Amino acid sequence: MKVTIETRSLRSFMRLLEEGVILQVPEGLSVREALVTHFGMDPLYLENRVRTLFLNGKPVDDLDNTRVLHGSVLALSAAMPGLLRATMRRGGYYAAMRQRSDPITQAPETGKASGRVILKLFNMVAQDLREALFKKGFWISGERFQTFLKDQEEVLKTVCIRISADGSSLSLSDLVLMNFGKDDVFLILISSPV
Amino acid sequence: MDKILRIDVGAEGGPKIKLTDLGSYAGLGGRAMTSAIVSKEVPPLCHPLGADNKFVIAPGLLSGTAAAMSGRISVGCKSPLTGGIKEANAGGQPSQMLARLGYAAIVLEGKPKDDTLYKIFINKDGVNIKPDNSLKTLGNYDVVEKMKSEFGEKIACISIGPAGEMKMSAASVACTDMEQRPTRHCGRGGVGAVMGSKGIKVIVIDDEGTAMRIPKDSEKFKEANRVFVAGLKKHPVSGQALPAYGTNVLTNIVNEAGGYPTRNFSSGRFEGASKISGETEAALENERGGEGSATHGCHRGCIIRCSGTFYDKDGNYVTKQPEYETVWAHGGNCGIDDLDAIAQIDRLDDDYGIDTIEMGATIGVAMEAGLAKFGDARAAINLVKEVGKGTDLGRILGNGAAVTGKVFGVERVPVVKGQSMPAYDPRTVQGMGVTYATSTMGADHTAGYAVTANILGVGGSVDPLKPVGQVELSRNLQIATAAVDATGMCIFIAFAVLDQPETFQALIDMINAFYDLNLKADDVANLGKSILKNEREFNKAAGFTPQHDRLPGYFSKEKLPPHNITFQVSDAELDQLFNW
Repeated sequence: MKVTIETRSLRSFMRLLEEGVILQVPEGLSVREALVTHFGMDPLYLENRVRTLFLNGKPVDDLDNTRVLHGSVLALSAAMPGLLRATMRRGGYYAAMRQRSDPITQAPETGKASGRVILKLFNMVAQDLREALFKKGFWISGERFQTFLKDQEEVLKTVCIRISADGSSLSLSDLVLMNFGKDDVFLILISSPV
Repeated sequence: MDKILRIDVGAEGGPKIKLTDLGSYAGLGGRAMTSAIVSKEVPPLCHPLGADNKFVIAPGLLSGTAAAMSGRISVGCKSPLTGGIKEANAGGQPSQMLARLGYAAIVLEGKPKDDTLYKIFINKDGVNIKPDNSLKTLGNYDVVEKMKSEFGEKIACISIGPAGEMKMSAASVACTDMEQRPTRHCGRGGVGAVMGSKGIKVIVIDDEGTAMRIPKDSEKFKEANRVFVAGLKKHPVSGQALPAYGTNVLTNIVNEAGGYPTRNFSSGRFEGASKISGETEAALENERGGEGSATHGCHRGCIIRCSGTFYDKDGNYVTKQPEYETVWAHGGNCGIDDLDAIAQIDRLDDDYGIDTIEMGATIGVAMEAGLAKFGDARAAINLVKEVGKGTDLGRILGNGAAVTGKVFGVERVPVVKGQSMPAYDPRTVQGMGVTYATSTMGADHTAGYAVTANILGVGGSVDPLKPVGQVELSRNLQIATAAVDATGMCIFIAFAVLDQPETFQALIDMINAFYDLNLKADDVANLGKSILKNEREFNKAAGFTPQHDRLPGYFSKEKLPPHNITFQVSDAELDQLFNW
């Protein structure tokens, strides 16, 4: 199902980005290829703004030799405070203070089959990229979307202008009551400030 | 800052005031001052709540000047929680005001003859101490309101709540912020209990009629401050992330790294993290209180503004923005994902005068013991209220996680030297584990924070993959942090200093211009080393051995999900930390 929501406030949907949205990406791309070539991120933005990057919960230093596979969870953050920031940031001096785990050495896949990755965006990166990502659209599990809608219904009532599902208009309360079952939903959010 | 105020609370006829010059303490501020006085004047084997312990308050070296971010105040004593030396610091208004009044330190000494509570009033005309038993059992908010009605709206207060009066080992010392709310706490180590043991409920400071402290070289100082401020503003952490989201911006990151201690350190991931993240918290504050509610400074001269104001659903003030450690301690660590409940607990902590980290860790242990279920916010609130009321259970909880774990037979108690660990699991960030284990303060995340060792020139190059690297990095961070704690500067300047050598140089230039000194980076490192040396020697004399520089055994045995790792730094490596 494809759901489109026109909203006064994209900020009200930010939690979706923190928890992660599903995007399709050819398998075996490097992290840099996935973000720049496939998702269209400005290479300078990746270099300068995205200071911490996790793949499956582990910090990534080498964007060119770390591969994104089907089911990977990729999380992006801007510079952050504290010792964590110093130890987790890419190539940081304090990288020695991380957990002692093997570096990520997933073998490159060459099949280029279409895979699905979960992309999480935090803090300033989420703020910077939300509009483009929301407009382009992403997949989200129906179950999680339903939970989000129920949790946020009061807030969403005040910001949602128009909603459509597979081309048909519907109200927020109808959307909240909709049963998506195990299916994923493709969600597009369009900013329409008053 | 040319004098020390000493108050003998045990003197015949009531507390007696003595003003002394700085003597051998000249040139010290903040943690350097508190640790120097405690290590020189307090017998290490004394009882922390007895006559021989001293309670020391010291503004930083640059407090009271026009230097941005210079409003931290340190308090020091022998800790009733750890049994070792303690320095805890906070923001708020008192540091700037005390410094402008010329006090480099206040020392409370002796033991009261009876249980009379006193208030101290300090202004440009001098110091006045009066008994005031009407303050007994009052929370910090009510104490401050009473002081405002008595002394006016322009005061700052340093006070204790009921937890301090009851001499609980988790008791904090509250400092008022710009809105005269007691929201900034010298939290760790039970410092509030020591202030309570001296029979002092509140110190009221009025700096009316004073001026900013004047540098020896005003032009150089002004220029250095300009460069310093520009550095803080341009840096993405101090200039963007912290103002926008506060320290709680860390929740999502630490959680993603698998290092977010969840349900009493039994997992490194909390499924409710996004509901209590800095991003969510800031959005909620701005939505309820209007744009800008999530960006606020804790003292005049703060330009980072990592704090904010938390309102309830109806727009009423609840508390200041609960920061990362608090949200973690009362949130993920207890399985709670409700920001309103966490804010309510933060307000109770501030009012009773309890360290939020210690209290959250204690409730986590209590939940593991079965006193409440993980995730039960209402039960957590009720447990904190027990502390405020001083019930039998409350007195156990108010003495921290170690005591609570002992009383209820819990093995998984995340403490070092009796003090609870903060919001980073040492299995995921092993270097933090080294700091927790070896810090003179007990488990303390700020003890080895983030001033760049390579800029300070004390780090050298280390192989990041060898065990010795962990220890050396932690050592350098501890040295650097001790030095910053002496300046009165907020530790969050460290991010700009970390990345921008010119910002670090500007900090040194400010100190040099103010005091007409010629300090170099090495001198800053030496200051940090001398502070740690004082503290370490005190702890040794208090009975600490290498066995106290260890994490609880389960961190080396229990694998932490999701990465399923243990703490791997060996005891032999930990024992090398202070070998410089």
